[in-house]
Amino acid sequence: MTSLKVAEMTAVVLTLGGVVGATAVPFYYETASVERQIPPERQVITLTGVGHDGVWTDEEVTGANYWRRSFRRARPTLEVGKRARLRLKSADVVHTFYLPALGIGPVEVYPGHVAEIAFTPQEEGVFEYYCRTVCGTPHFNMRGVVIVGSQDPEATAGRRPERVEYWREPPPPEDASLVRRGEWMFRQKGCITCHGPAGQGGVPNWNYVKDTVPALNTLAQTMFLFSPEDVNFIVERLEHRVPLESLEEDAPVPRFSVVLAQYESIRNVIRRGNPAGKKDPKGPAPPLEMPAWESRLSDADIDAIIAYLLTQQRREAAEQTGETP
Amino acid sequence: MFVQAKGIRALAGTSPAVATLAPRGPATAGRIDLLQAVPGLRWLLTRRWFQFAMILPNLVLFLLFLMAGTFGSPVGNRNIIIIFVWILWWFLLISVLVPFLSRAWCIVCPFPFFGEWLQRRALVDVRAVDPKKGKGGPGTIIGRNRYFGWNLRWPKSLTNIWLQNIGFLGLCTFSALFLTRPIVSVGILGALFVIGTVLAVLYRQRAFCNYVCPVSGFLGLYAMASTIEVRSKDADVCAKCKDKGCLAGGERGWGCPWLMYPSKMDRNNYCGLCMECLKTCPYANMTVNLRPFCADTRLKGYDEAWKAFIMLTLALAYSVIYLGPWGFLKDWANIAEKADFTGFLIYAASLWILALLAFPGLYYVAVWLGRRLAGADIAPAKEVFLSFVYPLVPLGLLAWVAFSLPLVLVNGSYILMVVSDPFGWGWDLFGTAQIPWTPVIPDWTPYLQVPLLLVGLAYGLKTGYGHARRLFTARGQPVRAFAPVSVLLTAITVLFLELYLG
Ligand code: HEC
Ligand SMILES: [Cu+2]
Repeated sequence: MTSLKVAEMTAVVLTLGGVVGATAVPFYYETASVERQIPPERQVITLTGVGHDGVWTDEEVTGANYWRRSFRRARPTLEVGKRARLRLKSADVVHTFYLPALGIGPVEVYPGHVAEIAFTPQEEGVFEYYCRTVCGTPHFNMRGVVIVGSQDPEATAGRRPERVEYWREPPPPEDASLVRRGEWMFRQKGCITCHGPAGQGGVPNWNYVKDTVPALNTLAQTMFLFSPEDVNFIVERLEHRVPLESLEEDAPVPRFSVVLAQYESIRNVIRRGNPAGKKDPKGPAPPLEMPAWESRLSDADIDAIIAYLLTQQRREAAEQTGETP
Repeated sequence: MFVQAKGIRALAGTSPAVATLAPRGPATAGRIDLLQAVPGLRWLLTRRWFQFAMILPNLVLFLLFLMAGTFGSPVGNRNIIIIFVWILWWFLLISVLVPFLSRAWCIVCPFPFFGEWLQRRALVDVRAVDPKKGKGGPGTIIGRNRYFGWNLRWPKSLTNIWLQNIGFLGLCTFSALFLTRPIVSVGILGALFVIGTVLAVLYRQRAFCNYVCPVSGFLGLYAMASTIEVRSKDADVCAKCKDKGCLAGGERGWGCPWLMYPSKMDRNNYCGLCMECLKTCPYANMTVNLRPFCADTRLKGYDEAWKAFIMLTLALAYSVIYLGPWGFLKDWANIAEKADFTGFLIYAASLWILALLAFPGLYYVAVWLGRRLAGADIAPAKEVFLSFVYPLVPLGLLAWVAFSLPLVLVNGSYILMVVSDPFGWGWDLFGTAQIPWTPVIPDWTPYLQVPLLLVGLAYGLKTGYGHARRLFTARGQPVRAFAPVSVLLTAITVLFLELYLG
């Protein structure tokens, strides 16, 4: 009986030990192994890419919270001249971290692996980071800033477009006009994040020949459509799904063959994308490049966006001249 | 009152003559008594701490899985809970444990652990009624043991495996969800722990395992084919036994927690191999036998028959969805990522109709046709139906093995990866975390799948024909009676073969 009592007590102790061990040891090991690797004098930033939110976050992402909440966009602050270590993780798919201004990346970040980069920030400033792998619709939102030194981040905030959760915007009704659908598409697909609200441009692009991503509200001019009537004519044809090629003969728009050629080339840029040219050929690749949309946009979608951008031009011109469109 | 085990040994030696004479005594033909053959095995299995020692490591492992699912990476193939539970565990269960070791999983299963602890207030100890104190004292007395908790009786109407049937089919409908989201797996495994514990507090003994656990249902069904069994050695000894320790328990062990009568047990279905009866039998008359494949051949109710239908339908459906060339089906089933609700409803409804109505209906027609062909029919219709459904046990089991094989091969590299990095936190415990995903679907996979399916079919035809000869005695009758079902079984096998070869 006494030996059984001993066995029973042992079993109880082992059970409790097992339960406590299973819950505590993983955390202990994680903390210990991270601390072992990183000397204490370093500043450590851990960023996790979250595809469905379009953020690099400094919050902990776990199996339990991933599906039910949104994560904060990381805005880490670093001291000048102090060694820093960046630990990059992915919560879902492959992301590519890129911080060209500090010479970091592009680094591919695979789920389950921690990509570590050591660096020393040399100058004060607010520097933008990106994701370079199109990891889903929210991908184009995967940007944020690293603040080095005592810079006021708000001072430069005005230069960046506000971060809207564009991919969550509800679609317009089925019978909405082509322009309205194009507007939604322009926002919902993320064009807005690079080309600015309503295609106004002005979004800075590191080491890019033109410094900022091209504006698209000049598309009418690019297409040689200089009067509201010309724009109207084209938009209407697009709305009725009339292939512009079939209008060659008797279109009322001047220099129609040029219009057509421009239309084709714009469609092609959208379909196939275009690498952004470097300003300094030896410098890093510009973080923002025109992606290829072939697999994500149908020809009709592209026409809708073009129609929308053409009318943006018109509206702006109308505002300037005080006319009502 | 307890006879020394040693003195009884001589008496307990297996005697085939006695076994065949005994009306419902377990057959001993073709059996090898493992406890005699393997030295030390009886000693090990009769230690009071045996089952505890088996469960504890597994309990710790499953708690780690739960931790990983909750705090680890949300990416399914980076999280040990998904890879280990649904790929490795499932594969080992269906292709090693069940075919060869019966319900050996139930020995190590952690889910009823806490519940049984609460019921018994003991992990290795036994609470026996003390003859000096009589029936007074704490707890409820059942047989010669004391139990805690409410000890309610399980409702009669649910004393079958229908809950398990529906539960398993329900779970499997959402397979894409828990195969991709660790947190859903945490929910499922967590629920098994919680339900197992709560039911143990409310109801007697292993009510959860017997009637509720969704895994238990198919373990029981397919354990019928397994090559080991716990049985009594000598029916005579049991007939003369007044102690009935295997049923009532005593100082040396608990009465059968699965509410079986071990000495009369003639099927594996509801024996969880806990080895209590080996400990409680005063004559050492309970043993573990090695036996031929598919030795239990009698289904005892429609619940068991439907389990066989559900399992085979699922094996077929999964083969079509996960191994077949139809991507849209995969999308329909994948409610987690595609969120195509109409598609999912179509998929779910067809799965349920196929498993619960269409396939059983087709089978029923085949059985009915066989009875018509055979002419004079003395056996009761239910008996014929259940007997002819039995072939789905070997066929279904081997179809599942054939289906699971490529899954484990494809995901083999993930297994190595998550062993080194169970939480997907970037650890590398054994230096295997960086192994890239290398899906191996060797060219020879079909050379394994085809024989597996054919073995399943062969056993199906053999056992089915055996039943036909038992039930239809006139000349030529058995062949005609079993012909339509054997055609159906062959057609099903051909369907699987086409899927795997095509
Ligand atoms: C990741 C940033 C990014 C996104 C998102 C993006 N673009 Fe661009 N786009 C660019 C850059 C950079 C260029 C300039 C490429 C070059 O230098 O040729 C460009 C060029 C263009 C041009 C050619 C303009 C010209 O003047 O040459 C068009 C048209 C265009 N984009 C349309 C779109 C549309 C429509 C979408 C959304 C469906 C979109 N872009 C989304 C970055 C982006
Ligand atoms: Cu990304």
